[in-house]
Amino acid sequence: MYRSSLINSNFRTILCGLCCGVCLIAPQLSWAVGTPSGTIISNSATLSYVIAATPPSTMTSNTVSFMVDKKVNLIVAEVSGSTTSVSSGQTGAVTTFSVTNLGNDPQGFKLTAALASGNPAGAPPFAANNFSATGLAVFADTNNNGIYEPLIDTATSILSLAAAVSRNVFIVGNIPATTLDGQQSVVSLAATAVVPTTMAALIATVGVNTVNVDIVFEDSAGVAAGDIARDTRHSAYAAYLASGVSLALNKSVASVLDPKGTAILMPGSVMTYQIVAIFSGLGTATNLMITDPMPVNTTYVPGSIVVDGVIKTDAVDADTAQFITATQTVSVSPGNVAAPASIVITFRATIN
Amino acid sequence: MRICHLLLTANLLILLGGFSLPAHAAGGSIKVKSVAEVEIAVIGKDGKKELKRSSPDKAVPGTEMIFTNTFENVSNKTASDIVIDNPIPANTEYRADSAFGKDCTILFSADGGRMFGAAENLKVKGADGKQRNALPGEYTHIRWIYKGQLVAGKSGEVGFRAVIK
Repeated sequence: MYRSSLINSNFRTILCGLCCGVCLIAPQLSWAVGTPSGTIISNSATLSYVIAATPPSTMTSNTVSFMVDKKVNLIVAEVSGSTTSVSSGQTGAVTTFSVTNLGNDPQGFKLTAALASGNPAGAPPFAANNFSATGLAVFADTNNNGIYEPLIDTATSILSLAAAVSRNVFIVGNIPATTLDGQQSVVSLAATAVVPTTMAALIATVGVNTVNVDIVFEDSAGVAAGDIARDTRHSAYAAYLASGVSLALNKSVASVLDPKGTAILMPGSVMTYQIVAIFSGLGTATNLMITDPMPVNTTYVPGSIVVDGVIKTDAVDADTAQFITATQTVSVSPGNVAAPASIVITFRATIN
Repeated sequence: MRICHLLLTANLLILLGGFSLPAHAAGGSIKVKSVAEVEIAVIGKDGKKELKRSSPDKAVPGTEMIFTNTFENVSNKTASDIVIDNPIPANTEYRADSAFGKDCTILFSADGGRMFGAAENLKVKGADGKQRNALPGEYTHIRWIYKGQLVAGKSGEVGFRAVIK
C-alpha cells in the first residue's frame, strides 16, 4: 500500500531522525477505535547470523503474546457549550448532551438526570443555580439526529454503543412559571457504563492478571455528586437560562354599547374587543403579526382599530394595521418587539 | 587487542572443548528470546518514584509495551553479520525514539519489511499521492544490524516500545 524509499545514512543521523520523530508522535496519541478486548498481541524476532564463513543461518525467537483487556471509559459532555434558553412556564425544555464510549468494546449506558445542588463550581455560563427545573426526564437520541422527537426518542438508556461512538442524550424538564428572567437551573447528566443489553453492572478485575479478559476502569471523575474516577460513570452539567421572550395574549370584551345606550348584548350592540399582548423575558420577538378573525354573527366597525391609543386605517398601508375584508380579519403587524413590552389593540364589532 | 582477545577466547574454547550445554544443541548457535513487559511507577523505600518492569498485567488500548529480544551466542564460535528483524506487532503502534540496541545500527520499514531505512529517510505515499516522511506509527518493522562480531558466550539485547492501539 505504502511505498518507502531507502537512503543510506550513518548512525548519527539515525539518532537525529529519531529525535525529530518525537515531535511527530503527538497526533498519534488518539486512537480512533481501540483494539477489542480478547485480541491476542504477539511478538517474535528473527535473527540471522554467519558462523565460520558458512551460509547465513536464521533463528526465530519464541513468540511472546498477551491478551488485550477490556477498557471501560466514557465521557459525557454538554453539546452546545452554552446555556439552554427557556422561558418561564415552558414545558418540555430540552437540553442536549453527548455520551461517548471511549472504551475498546461495545457498552450499554444507564442514564440519570439530576438537579445540581448548590452553586456548581463549573466554569461560566454554568455558574449560577437559582431556580429548579421540574419533572426531569432523560431520553437517548434513538436516531442520533440531535433533535428530541418525543415519539421516537423514548429509550431512557443506551442498550449498546460501539467503541469510539457518541450518542446524543436529552434531558427534558419543565420551567416553573415563577422563574424570573436571568435565573438559571443547572442540571447534570450522568452515564454509567454497563454490560450491553443486560445492563448488568461491570466489575473491575482486581489483583493479578487473569488468563481471560480483565476489566479495567479508566473513566475520569465527573461533576455529579459522588462521580469519582474509575467508577464506570461520567457526568456533565447543562444549564437552563430563563431568557426567552414569552408572549401572552389576552383578549376580552372591553365594553358593550347597545342601541338604547346601555350595555346589553343584543343585535345592534357594538362591542369593543381588547387584545393585550405582553412580552416578557429578554430578547426581541421578530416579525410579529397578531391576527384576529371576526367572531361569527358580528360585523367589523370600519376604522375602529386602535393600537396603543393610536387610531389606524383599515387600508393596507404603512400604519401596520389593517382590516382584511376577504377573511374578515383584523391584522396588526408590530414587526420587531424588544421585551419587556406590551401592546394594546382594540377594535369594534356590531352584533348582527 | 582484538586479535589477542580472540586468541584468548580460542584458547579457552580449546580448553573447554567437548563441554556443551544441552541448550546449545537444541537451539542452534544463537539463542533468541523475546519478552513483553510494561513499565509501572512504584514508590521505592526511599520515597522516590521509580519505574519497574513487569509482565503485562492489565493491557488495554493506550498501554505502552516494551518488547525486548535477547540474543546469546551459545556456540563455541564467533558469529558475525548478525541482523535482527522484528515486525511491529499487529494492533500496536511503534513509539517514536524508543528502539534501543547497543552496538547496533537501527533501521525501520514502513512497507511491510520490503525496504529498510533510517527513520528520517523513511517515506510513504500520503493520501494526496505525494511522498512524505513516514510517521512512527506507520512503521511496520524494525531491523538491528549488529556492528562487529558476537564472540562465543556473549549476548546482546535489542528492543522497542509500542502502544496498544
